[in-house]
Amino acid sequence: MSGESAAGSTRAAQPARRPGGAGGGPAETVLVRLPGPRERDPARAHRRRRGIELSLALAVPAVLILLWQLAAERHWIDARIYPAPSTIAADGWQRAADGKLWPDVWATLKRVILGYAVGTAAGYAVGLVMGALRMVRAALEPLLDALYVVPKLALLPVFLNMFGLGEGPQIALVATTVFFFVWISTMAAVMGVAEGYREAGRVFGAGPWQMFRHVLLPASLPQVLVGMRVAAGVAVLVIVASEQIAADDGLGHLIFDSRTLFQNDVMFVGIVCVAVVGVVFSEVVRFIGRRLTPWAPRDRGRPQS
Amino acid sequence: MEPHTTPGAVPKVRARAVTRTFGHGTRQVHALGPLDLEIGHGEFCCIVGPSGCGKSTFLRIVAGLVRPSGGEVEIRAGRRHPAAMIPQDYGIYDWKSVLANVRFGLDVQRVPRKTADARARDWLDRLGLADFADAYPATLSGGMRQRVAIARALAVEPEVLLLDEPFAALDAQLRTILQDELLAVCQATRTTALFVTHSLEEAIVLGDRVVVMSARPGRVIAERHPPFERPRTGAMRRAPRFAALQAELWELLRDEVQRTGTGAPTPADAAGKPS
Amino acid sequence: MPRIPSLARALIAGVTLLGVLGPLAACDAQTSETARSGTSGKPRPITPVAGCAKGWTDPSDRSADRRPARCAPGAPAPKPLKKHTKVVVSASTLTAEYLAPLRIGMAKGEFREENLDVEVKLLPTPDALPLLAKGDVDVQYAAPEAGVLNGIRQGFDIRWVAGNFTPAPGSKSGFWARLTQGETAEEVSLRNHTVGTLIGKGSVIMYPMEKVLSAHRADVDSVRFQQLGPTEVLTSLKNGGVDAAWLLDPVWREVDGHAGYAFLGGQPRGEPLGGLLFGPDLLTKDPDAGVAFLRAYIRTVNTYFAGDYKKDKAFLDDLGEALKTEPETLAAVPSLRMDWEIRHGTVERLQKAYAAAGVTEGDPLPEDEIVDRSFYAEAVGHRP
Repeated sequence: MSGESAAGSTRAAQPARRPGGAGGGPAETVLVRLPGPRERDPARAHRRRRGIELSLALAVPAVLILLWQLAAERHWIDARIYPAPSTIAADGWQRAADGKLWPDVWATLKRVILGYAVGTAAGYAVGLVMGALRMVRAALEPLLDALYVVPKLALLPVFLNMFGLGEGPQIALVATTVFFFVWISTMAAVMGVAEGYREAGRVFGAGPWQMFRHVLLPASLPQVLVGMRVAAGVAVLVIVASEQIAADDGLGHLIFDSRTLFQNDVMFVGIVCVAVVGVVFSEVVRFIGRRLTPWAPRDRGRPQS
Repeated sequence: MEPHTTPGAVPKVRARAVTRTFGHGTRQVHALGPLDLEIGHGEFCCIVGPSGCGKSTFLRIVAGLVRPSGGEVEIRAGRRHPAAMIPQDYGIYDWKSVLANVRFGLDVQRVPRKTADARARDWLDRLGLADFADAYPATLSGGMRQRVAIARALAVEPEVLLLDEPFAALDAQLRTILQDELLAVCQATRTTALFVTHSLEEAIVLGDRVVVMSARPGRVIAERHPPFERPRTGAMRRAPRFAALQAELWELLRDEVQRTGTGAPTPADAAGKPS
Repeated sequence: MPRIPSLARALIAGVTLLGVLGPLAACDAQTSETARSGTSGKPRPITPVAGCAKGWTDPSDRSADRRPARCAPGAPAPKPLKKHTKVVVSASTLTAEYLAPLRIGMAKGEFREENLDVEVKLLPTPDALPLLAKGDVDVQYAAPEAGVLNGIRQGFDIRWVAGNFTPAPGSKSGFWARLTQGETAEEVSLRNHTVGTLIGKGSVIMYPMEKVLSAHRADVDSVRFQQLGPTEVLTSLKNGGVDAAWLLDPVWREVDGHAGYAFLGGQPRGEPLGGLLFGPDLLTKDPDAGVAFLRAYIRTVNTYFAGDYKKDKAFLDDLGEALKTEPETLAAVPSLRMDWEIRHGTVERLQKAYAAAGVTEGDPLPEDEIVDRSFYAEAVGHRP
């Protein structure tokens, strides 16, 4: 028997036909539940499954990139507009070797990190206060809800007026965007701290600072970190868009500048770099989050709550 | 010595005409009272009653989490937060290790870390948790978690111990074991305790006194004193007097339960379900 | 157990198969294979055109006060195409004055007389360029910016086929600098200044900009360029965000005459720097339509824009309506000198400026790979 699925296998034996008339009634089949290959050798089955998963995770992106390369070489796509991966890699390597790539990467990173730090700190503080104090929430929530929906990129001209040219408007834009994500998840997290947790603290006589330190802060942390991870990705997104408009260096500027100059291979180098920066940043935030919440359950390879 | 309230002695906890209503207007719910109850020093008082009779509400009033709508509760205590509570769930903190959880009450009181650690570890030993001091609660079973909750409450040496159906979420076998453990520990410390439960068996095993409450709005309709001498052991469950008392309490309770309309559990069921 | 690995194998094979079949089915990648300089095939027959005796000037003449080529009004006469043809034109703005011949020509039916149906799309230059290269856009109103030259170098079939204008003698559109204490227009040093521009280093104004910079002790590397939107350029110059800026018509009026601002130079007088770009559609596929388009355009210039067209109030109103601008705003600046011809050597000078700014790579392209005068030559009946 070669049954595979779920637990073990089932074999339907040939219907055991009672000789006609004896006992009457419908013919019966004997169902047999037997161990399948996974039960007979669970360790091997597990290894094999992990191997398949890993291969797929690597193979699918690799195949797609190879297809792209093939398409570019066989002229199924116009390689001048969609450069082949090999061109992008070569160009990127050349730029990096010439030392022209790192300044842009660093400029973007600086803005993202600063804006992210400011936005997170502000969002966390406001979310905490609004989550814990009902009056403050009542006072501020309608205002912040309304601002949340405004596309922050639309505020760039306002920031340009406020901060003039330079790093100010960029960092302000990232900070504002990050603020809203972190604020919302913090506020929800604090409000969602189970009443029972708080009551236990109250009965023991915990003061406001102790309540914060022992209960509210750690209880809300996992959910806050989710918001922070989302905000990390969005921060990179926003900085690229704003660098197009108001900066003269950085990866976003590189992308749009090369687009203006019709240098598509450089544009793609910029795009790939932005993607890498986004992934790395997001993973760093996730890593820090895992360090901060050792009690939260792990789920290998999945977003950490 | 029997820790029985001697007449004339000043009670540890005194509730006079306590009532509690929730909501307002036409949707107002009269949850509790008027309730009169006195608990003496060192007395282990169990409260049984049908679902919704307000026994948990009364406990929370004594704990200071909720204020009475009428009447008053007096607690003679040496400090501002004399109580420690062991609730049914959400008691202990997932983000603290077992040791940190047990130490929590002491941390709040700003007991120096070394002393607090020592006391906490002592309690871990007493409850068989010594091997799990650094584990996180998420990795523990339900029974272990409740042991941690008990240790946490007792670590601060409370003047009043409040327990709100602490074993209701556990299976029947684990429940019996934990009842015996709690019995042993409380007999050693002689803490004044107020224990709310659905289980008549539990009340008789643990209590110096069993108070029966009516259906909502809850009032005291009867009380009994389990005639078992201290120190008790789990073997008392097999005594014929045990079953007799249990049946007697059930008779008192059954009408109230049926009046609540939650269906009519049998005497055997009355030992089990959480509210 | 063969099934699990074969499942994965099947998956990978399926993805590859789909990936191979998909693009083959799509099949519109033919546009990539176009020949360079597609126009130089067999030369087209050119017949002289009535009224266009002065319709051609010597491309090497770059003197500042030269007269642009002009025909009689109404010349060259329409030669309607056999087939009604649609032409898609893209421009990055619809209100700039240099677009006036196109807009007026459309309004007065000049293109219709050639049996052409012109559709104008508003697209920023970087977005229009790939479309022009692919053939989705037929004509682009732009200039031979660095991006265009990079495209030509990559093998796209794009040519600069007509000029647009040269500035009027009284115009001060161009490089404006804010003067600090004690500086005068002659003495200001532009080293370490921040210059605000609309497009950045890839723009054609790099060529006149470089001349201004070198006349004032600076060069492309010793100043900082700040890219700004059109509204921000002036504000930044005024409030100190930038030290200098390239101001267009009529924005320069706001600082003209104010002490503390100096005009240091603009677009060269006799030399158009922008105009019309043709893509593969009109260069190779349908050159008749290309000539017809330019013919209508040139006729519009000769009929309505031959001299100082802003003298006529009624025409000013027409202009205002076509460009969606107030006639008063238009009257505030002098008339442009419409000039459909391309000077010799302009692209060579532009490429030098781009190379200095670092926005192009490789050797400069020869002029005949960038410029194609044959279309307007045919339209005015000039035989080489």
